[in-house]
Amino acid sequence: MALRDKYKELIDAATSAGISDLKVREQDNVLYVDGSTSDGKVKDNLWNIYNQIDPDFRAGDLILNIDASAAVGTKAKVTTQSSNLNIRKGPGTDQQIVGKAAHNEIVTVVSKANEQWSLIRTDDGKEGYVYTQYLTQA
Amino acid sequence: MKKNFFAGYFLALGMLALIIGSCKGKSSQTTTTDTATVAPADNTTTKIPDTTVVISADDSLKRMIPDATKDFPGVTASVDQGVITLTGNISRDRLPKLMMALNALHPKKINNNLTINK
Repeated sequence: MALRDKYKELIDAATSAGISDLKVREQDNVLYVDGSTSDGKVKDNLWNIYNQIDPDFRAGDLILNIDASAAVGTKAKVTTQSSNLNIRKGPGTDQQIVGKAAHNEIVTVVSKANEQWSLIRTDDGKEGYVYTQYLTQA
Repeated sequence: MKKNFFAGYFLALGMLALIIGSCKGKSSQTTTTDTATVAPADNTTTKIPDTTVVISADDSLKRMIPDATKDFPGVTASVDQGVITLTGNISRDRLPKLMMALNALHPKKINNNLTINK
């Protein structure tokens, strides 16, 4: 229960932001918070709160898994730090690079290969797999 | 003689009534027992709250981590019993992106032992 108190501000923010399928559980001194949102800003805000409560994520007592990736069939924005996003032939960094999507470019999500990789199509017709963490619902 | 016959006749009728009565008792008892057996079965269908924490197996974490850490060349991630331990160097502005990617892999815990450069 102590961890729920420590991260109360985060849990309250997730609840008021309308995070879908929000789950908050405590097990073996780790708090697990899972959910999804269609708004990348909501996810960033929750991570900012996490970073304020536990600076640099040092305590190792929270696993925050907020999925803000774009739904299949919708548009997604490439949210890399600043660089281009590699588009690959298959789902894996060991797969050949077949193109690049620019930082902040809008692409279409065709399908999700697994929890980590999505098949996308760019507006100029390039198709391939990208790391889902770098896509945010547009 | 006739008196005895009637006495026997009524005695037989009485016994028959008793037998029928006891049979009725048995049948109603059986019905009650059946109902009692059904009731607990209904209780077992009560929904169990979803409180399970899904933790990825080490094999799965080891397979997924290279993709998650590829863009963070100074970072080394090791896995033991679901716990990811991070060592190496990272800049503070890049740390959240790395943590977001690793938190999504369903680890048990993440020990951040990274040296953070401003």
